[in-house]
Amino acid sequence: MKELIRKLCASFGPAGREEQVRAVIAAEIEKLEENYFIDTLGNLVVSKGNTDGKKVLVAAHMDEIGLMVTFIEENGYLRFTNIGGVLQRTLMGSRVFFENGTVGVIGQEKIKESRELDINRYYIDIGSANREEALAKIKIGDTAVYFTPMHQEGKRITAKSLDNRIGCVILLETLKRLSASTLPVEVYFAFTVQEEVGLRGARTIAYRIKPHYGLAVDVTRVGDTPEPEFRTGVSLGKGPAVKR
Amino acid sequence: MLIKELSTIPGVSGDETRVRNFIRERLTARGLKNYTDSLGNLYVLKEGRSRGEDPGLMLCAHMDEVGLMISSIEKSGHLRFYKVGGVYEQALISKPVKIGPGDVCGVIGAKAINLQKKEERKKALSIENLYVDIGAKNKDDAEKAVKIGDYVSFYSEASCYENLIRGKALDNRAGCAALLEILQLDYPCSFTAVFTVQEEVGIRGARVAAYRVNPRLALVLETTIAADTPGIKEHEHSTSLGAGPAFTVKDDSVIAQPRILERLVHVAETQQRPYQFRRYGGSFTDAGAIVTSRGGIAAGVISTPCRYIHSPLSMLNLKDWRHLVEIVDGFIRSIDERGLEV
Repeated sequence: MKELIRKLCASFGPAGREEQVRAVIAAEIEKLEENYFIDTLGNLVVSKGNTDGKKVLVAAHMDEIGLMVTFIEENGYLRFTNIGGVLQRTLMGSRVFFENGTVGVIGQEKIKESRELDINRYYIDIGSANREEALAKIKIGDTAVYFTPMHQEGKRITAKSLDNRIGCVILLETLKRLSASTLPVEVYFAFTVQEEVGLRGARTIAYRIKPHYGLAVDVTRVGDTPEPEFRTGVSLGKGPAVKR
Repeated sequence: MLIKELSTIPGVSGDETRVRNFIRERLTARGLKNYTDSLGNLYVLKEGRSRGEDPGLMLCAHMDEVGLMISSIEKSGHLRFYKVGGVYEQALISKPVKIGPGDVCGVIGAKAINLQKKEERKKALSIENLYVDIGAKNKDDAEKAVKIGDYVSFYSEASCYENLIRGKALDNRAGCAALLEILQLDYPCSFTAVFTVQEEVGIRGARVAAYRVNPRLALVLETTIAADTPGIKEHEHSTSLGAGPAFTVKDDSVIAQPRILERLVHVAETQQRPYQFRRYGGSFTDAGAIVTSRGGIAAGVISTPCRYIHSPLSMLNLKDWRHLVEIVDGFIRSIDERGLEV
């Protein structure tokens, strides 16, 4: 399972460009010899169980936050906008990668006060000397995600996009363990798109399936860090969190 | 000229009747069947010449514009107002407006400049400090001409200078004019065109229209921000006038369906027309409501770049608009010829 987490977290999948993540998930499902379908927006759905029973929709989103190139400077630097809720203060010095494997480093213009800082003051450096060189690799509208592969430290792991690749792994594992013949209900496992930009995939898949019950499998903030921004009462290692 | 005529018609969100009537007259004159829903969206089923497979295409353009609404009437006869949609507030002062169904003329006023303190002069006046003056002597006098809830629209004549057109509400009368142009032409395939309402206050008309039409794919004809003006760095221009129509990759409401985007680029390149990508990830359009309708609908957005959007006077380049019409035309034909897997 750890290898699957590693693989899914390493996959490229900003909201709207979930193809690579979906391909990894589809391959896992094929190994289980289950059928699936993909809808217009790109949600992937597998159903299992009693087709006469009530419908239960269990959803985990595949997408992650990212960046989208909006302009290429004459000197080869890329300007960008955010896809989903990117924390600006984490940008400076971060490494990102594009769907085609191109890697860049984020830099920042000289600023006098921190309130001047907005996303237009940052740039991605992909090592191109000029616009032409950059355009050979990247075009406007291309997207990038953080380049931070999984690392294990004791019982804990760190990686980009654990939000929500870990949810995807949980769904796959559940799918594997459930036996169709003993299920009283019909379970729809939905791997959804575009959660980070407005829960768009879940909306269309819920309309299509019309479930009786729904369960979202996701990650959530913890409150067990020094002076936490949110006092959520959730701590690492104390089991999954239930929202009520 | 169609854009000029459409530009001058008052049609603030929720009050699109006159725009709709203008468009409907032209549709009916061309023998195009049309109908309206309870929100006021205007639908046209454009029948194709051949009886081939219907690609399930919907084209839409919103009819409404941003504006104001009367909220209260002062004893003095001055009218207080609030905004309808994302009005450019700093641009309001001293602008002429039309109020209500009777088109009562007014001007947006504020404290006289010579009475303003030094600090006041430095700041842009907010809506609380502004009022509409219709020259009424007192409240009773004002109530003879207007009432609370009356819509207020900007009053600006549209004019041209070479390829540039200036006027109010070019967002999105330029899109409406483009859709009317398209509806004049003949296509092998059928499609549905919708002139939507209440886009500026939360893409409401398009939500209802997408549910009703239930298309397979949709293309939204819009007008978008151009910020190619002094003091703005090139990467923050969003779009530039004269560089061709803009394709949206992503905004706050939608991530364009990649295959629609690719097809738009393909059509533009085949036709050897200029195009640009919108270099700003914010704001919203009807596509946002369409994409999440029912079980999900593939959607894209093509826009005419426009300066000073949401203000009493905006500006666009007619060449960009003409290119937009031709690319949309090519897009429909390409869908008919090659289909589009979405």
